[in-house]
Amino acid sequence: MKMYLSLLRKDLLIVKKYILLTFALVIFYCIIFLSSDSVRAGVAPLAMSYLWAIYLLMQTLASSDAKYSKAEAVICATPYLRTAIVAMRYLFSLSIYFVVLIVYILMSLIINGAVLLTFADAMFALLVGNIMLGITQPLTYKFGGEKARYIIVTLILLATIGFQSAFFIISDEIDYSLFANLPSVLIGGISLILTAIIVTISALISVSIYKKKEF
Amino acid sequence: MNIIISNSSGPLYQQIKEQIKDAILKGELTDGELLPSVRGFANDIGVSVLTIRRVYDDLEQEGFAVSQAGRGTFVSMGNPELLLETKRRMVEEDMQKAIHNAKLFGIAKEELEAMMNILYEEEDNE
Amino acid sequence: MNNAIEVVGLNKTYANFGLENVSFIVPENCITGFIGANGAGKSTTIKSILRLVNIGGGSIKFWGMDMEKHEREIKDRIGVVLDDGAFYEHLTMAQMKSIIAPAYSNWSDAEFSTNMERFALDPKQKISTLSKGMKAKFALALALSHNADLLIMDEPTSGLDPVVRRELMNIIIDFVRNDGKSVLFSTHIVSDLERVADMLLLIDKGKIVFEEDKDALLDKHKIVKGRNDELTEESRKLFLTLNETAFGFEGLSANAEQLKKMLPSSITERASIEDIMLAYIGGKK
Repeated sequence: MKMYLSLLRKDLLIVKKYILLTFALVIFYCIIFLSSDSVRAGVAPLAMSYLWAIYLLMQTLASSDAKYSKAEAVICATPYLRTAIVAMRYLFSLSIYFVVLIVYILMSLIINGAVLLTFADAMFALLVGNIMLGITQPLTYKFGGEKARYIIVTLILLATIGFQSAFFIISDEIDYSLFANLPSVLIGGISLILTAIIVTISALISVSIYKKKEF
Repeated sequence: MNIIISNSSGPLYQQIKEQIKDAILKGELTDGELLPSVRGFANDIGVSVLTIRRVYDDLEQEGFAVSQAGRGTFVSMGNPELLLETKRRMVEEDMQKAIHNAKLFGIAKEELEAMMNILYEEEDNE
Repeated sequence: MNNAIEVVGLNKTYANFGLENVSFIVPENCITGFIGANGAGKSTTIKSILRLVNIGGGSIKFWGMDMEKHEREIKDRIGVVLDDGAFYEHLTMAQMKSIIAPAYSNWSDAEFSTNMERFALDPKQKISTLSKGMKAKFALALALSHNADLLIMDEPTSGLDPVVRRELMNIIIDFVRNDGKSVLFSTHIVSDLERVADMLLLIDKGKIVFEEDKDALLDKHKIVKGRNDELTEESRKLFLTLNETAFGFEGLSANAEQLKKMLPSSITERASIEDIMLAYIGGKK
């Protein structure tokens, strides 16, 4: 067990310089969006913060892997299994979610005095982030930080812009009564299950790519 | 025990082996004495452990030493006949050289015998 | 005597280079020196046996166990030192150690502290501030702190000054004094091995040239110098390298005994490992 936790610590130690920046970013997003009046503001700041937190941290990990490939080689020469190394990185990205969530809740309390976030919102943000992660991680493992970065940045830009615009454009036209009738727990539950599926598939692909990586 | 190896007198392991045997026969190494550890010995005289191991293996085969797992290799003059044999053989070899040379130089057997007696006495008196 | 490593038929193809049918043995309790020119295949071979690169065929066994089936168990017993820069520069040595240590089931913090003290290293120091020599010692400290039975090192002494090199060599000798410990290390500074190696493995252009007991190698190969007028076609053939000048000849031969008879006024001298290596891979007649 201790062995796996230390892999988490490894990723944390690698990105340690960027953690402060990430926090700042999340807080920034929260301030901007939590003060607006939009009804569905709940999902947006959380999802966006999560997306950008993932981008920053996972990219840092990827470029550090590229820069310190010899260090990575040493790690692969230890008894750490490659499967575990990949799996723990996914777990790391999951823990990013929880940290972002906590910051969000705190900011929400500070700015609005209340937390306008349902279980469905939280799970939906999780899903959105992991769709991004699910696509970018295997790409990063396959093509390395540099090349994958261009693809990823484009994807994220499209995602966040599209996401934001979609909300502000169609939020008036969607019949929320439909959604309002569905219990939050159901939507949240479905999102959660989808997340699990996407992450699992992505992880399996990443593992098979990483197993063949050469140093 | 001194081990001095030269770079031009034949295979290293041979030289080392002969010198150890010499030491045993001359009594410099006593029965039951522990021979140096393989690695330490190798390091000290600058040869590889494989060479020393070979030497010790040969010594064991020829009846001069016995190795005990985990403890090392010990001088073993356990076979006194063998020892005597070897000592006799060594002297015989030297004698053969003398005889060969004597014949070559035309020195007769009687003269050779006389020479040997004189030298033997001389040595005793030293 | 068990073999620490047994490689048979290792193949690895890259675009313009490859390992061809590489087979060798690293015996237990020995220091095996892996030599060859730069680019000859030393690093590739080491990476192949550690599964850092994919191989195109061959069997790799450690202590009789197949690497494919017992990877974790085997790696647990190996201390690895890859050439410099194998760390995250922005971390301290203590932090780097906290990443590596939990991977090994026999890690000993006490051992690690002792080693760090022995090498005069302060764990709280950032890796980016370390000199090359200190980084090499740190790598060794890590490799020696989990009761490894086998040290595998890829060019551990390149770029280090002779004093540090001597220190590292002594540490390696110390390590291998204990039963069941073995060392494989690759280097192109052949003179380091003159003193310490037990076995020598020479690789050139992806193929193993020879695998021999150092002393047997030195016994067999000698430098022979003599007069030009004594050379004949026959005697020339027995040389691996031969340099003839107006004043005489000098060459390296694996048949010094024979030559002595053919060239009575020649003299025979000890060859260095480097001389022998060059004779096989570089200097042609």
